[in-house]
Amino acid sequence: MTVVVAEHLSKAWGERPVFTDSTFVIREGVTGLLGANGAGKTTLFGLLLGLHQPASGSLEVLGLDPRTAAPLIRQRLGYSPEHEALPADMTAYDFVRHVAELHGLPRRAAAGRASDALYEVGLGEERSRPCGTMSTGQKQRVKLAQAIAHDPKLVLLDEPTNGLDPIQRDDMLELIHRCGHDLGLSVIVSSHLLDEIERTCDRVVIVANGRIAEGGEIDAAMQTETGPLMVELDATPETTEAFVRALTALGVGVERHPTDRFALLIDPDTHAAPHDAVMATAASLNIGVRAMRRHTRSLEDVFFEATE
Amino acid sequence: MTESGPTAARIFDRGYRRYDGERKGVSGAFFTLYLATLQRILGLRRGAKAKILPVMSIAIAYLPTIVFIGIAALFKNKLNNGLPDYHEYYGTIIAAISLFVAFVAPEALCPDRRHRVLGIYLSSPLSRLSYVAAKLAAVFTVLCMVTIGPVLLLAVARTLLDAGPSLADLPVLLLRIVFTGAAIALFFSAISLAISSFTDRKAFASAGFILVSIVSQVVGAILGTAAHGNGRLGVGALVSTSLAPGIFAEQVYGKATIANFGLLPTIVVFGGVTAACLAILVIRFRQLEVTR
Repeated sequence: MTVVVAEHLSKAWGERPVFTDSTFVIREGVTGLLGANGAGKTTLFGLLLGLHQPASGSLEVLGLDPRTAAPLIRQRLGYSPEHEALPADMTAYDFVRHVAELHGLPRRAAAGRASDALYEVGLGEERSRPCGTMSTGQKQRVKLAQAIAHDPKLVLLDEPTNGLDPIQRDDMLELIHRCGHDLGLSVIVSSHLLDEIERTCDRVVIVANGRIAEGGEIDAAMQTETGPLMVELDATPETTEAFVRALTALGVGVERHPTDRFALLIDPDTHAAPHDAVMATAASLNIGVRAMRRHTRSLEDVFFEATE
Repeated sequence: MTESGPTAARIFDRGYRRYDGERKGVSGAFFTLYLATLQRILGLRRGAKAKILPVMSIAIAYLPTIVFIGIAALFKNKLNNGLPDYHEYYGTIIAAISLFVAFVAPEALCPDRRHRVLGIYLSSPLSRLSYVAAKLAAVFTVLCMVTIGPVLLLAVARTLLDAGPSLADLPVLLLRIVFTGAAIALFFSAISLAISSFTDRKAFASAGFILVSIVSQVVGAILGTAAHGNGRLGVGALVSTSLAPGIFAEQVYGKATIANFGLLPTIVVFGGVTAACLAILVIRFRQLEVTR
């Protein structure tokens, strides 16, 4: 099932194009929207919400066209803006309930669901505190709660880890993962940080260089079927050098890892039994092998490939 | 991943579940925002400080009627027809209206922008236009409490003191009270929100209204006296926010004393000012940047 279908989508602010001729699909589940600051992530959210119109191309959100059915779409959408967006003098509970009612829920249902959503994001005890007195971490949680309280089909989270310290960030990422996988909501999370997307999302969509492109499923994108074998050694630079020489003597293609100086990349096609060769060589030189695995590309590689 | 129906329901440690009940769409969102704004303006569910000004401006509007009734009741025999006429009342509640428009009405628009909540509102079924319409409806409702309520009370008082309208006159009188009150309320709602739409600070909106009302008085006086030199005002006087309610009421009640240019020009100018302010409000909110 798809939640967003875009065909030849273009958007410009005045003369400045944000993205042009982008065709992509966003499926159910947790999707990361990856791009540098200013690449157009928030603009895409604005288009999905029907707040502004595409310059050309077509867009479909939850099977509807935002140009004609924006209120219907927004009724089933939750949105958490990037910036602080909470009324300082309202309690978290009042605000979340208010937003749930705005999305069409009757008062009683909205009240119950507001409590549940706040409990879900870990603010059960703090729910009657005015938003203005909350810490950044708590505010981000309230923003998440108001986005999920009305049981949306699709939740848009714009940089939800902004301003959080590393521990709060981990908690927030876990919460988002939970929203997508345990609560069964489709989520689009925007971020400029690769590792956040790697950790929480099933798929990735990349915004860069005026284009939006599907990065596909993260696990699949990061696996390479025929890529090199990565070997991490428990060695000194000298013994590593000896190891490389010994393997090369066996006819195995060995390369240094570009960033990790104790890791080697071995071309498995140059030897009949590359794993055995590595183990035997290591044993003969008395070198420990920390890890030997198929090299996975980082999302960074995927990102650069998509934005070339 | 989005299953529905009872078989797909899963129970989590506390509460978060599917919601398959009704959703009220745009009208539900409109009504929710309308009620919330009404509460906010009146200071309900907020601290005592937030209640002072709205209560004061409403009290000031009703006070003259109540005092008149008291005097008339006490000195019924000495005061022959001592209560003010209906159209005279609008001049006396201009203080209440001004107080409300200057200090209470900005509460409707400014805080949402100041706290940048607008983005969340616009992610609901509301659009920019329906958002503004709900805000306008809320301010209008409270202003009607000031512009219609006291005059109705006056009608009741006059009836009790045997100075009321005859049964035959009653429908026309009620119509005049409601029409005049609603028109004046809309006039000031439009002015107030148009000014508020330029700033996210309540203090600036208050200052803005005070400035506009001073300037409009000067302009209104000039325009008003330019046409007629005989002590009666020209139609331009309707630009003045402090003169407009009184003149408008006189014309509607057919008892022109300070101006004599007829009902139609009155409605055209009065309605024109209102429409212009509404246009400013809508254009401002169309242009307002929410997410980019």
